Amino acid sequence: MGTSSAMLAAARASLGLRGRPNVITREYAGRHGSTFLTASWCDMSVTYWARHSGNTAAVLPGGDRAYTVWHAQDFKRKGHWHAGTRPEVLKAKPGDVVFFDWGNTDHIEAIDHIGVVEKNLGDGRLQTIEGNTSDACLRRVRSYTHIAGYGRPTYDASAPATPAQQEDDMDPNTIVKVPAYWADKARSKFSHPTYSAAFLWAGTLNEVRAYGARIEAKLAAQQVTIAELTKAVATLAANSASVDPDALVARIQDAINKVTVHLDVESEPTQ
Amino acid sequence: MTEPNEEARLVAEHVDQAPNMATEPDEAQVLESLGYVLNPVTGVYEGEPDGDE
Repeated sequence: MGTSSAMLAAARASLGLRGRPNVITREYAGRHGSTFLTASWCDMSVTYWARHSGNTAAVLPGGDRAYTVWHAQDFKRKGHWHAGTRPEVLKAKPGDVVFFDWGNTDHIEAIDHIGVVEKNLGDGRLQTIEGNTSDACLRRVRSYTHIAGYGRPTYDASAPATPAQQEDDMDPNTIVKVPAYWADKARSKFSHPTYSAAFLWAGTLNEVRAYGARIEAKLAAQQVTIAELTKAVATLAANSASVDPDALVARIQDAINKVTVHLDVESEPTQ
Repeated sequence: MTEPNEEARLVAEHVDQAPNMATEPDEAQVLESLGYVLNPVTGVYEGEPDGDE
């Protein structure tokens, strides 16, 4: 089972994703039909982050969801639903799945939108990460007045370290790092080396998927940057005969080509 | 799993249809106070949250 930190790491990896179809709608459409390629993708985002962070069972108690009302009903059926009143919102935690009704009711049937809580601001408002807000994945601030309620996933609270904390210790050139705690957990959980190795591999896979999503988001942002730079170069060239736009673009491209990706395996299971 | 086509119809009719999505008026100031920095190119407030995760 995954953690709220892994869920948030997956959500952060999607920040900046914009437009549709995109990696999230494509993945959902791949399982449920091409209609979803250009559909509203807020809940497809939550589904994507859950599946890419080892949190499928915790965050998707009824399975994949694109329709927010069904998703909220899944939490309600499990007894993990909290209404969007101020006292309840004050108790929301990072990783909770928050549902919005722009008509300001707490009725599940009226839910319009969904996100993941990144921080509780303590004043009846939550700072969230949301997919398909202005057709992009962005951080938002939302008041309890617009919050219909939230679901509390059954995350694994026993994980001794979080991916976010792991990232703080990482070499800046390292994109993927296999956390040492997965090896310790694998050893303590299973005495048989085969099961221990399988557990470690599953955990590693989740980490790699989360960082893969992060790399995808960074590359998408990089494409936007390249387009903006190209536009800026054209403007500059139009106003100055001394600028060689081709040479400038070549230098930018050369800098981009120097970006490298490293795979750093910190530890392996031993018996 | 429920019928995907039914879900697609419900999503098209009911999800993310409101134009304003009720953003808080001081959203930018709040996000900046949390330590995030706006990337003007992507529109993303970037960085890691401080505090209680």
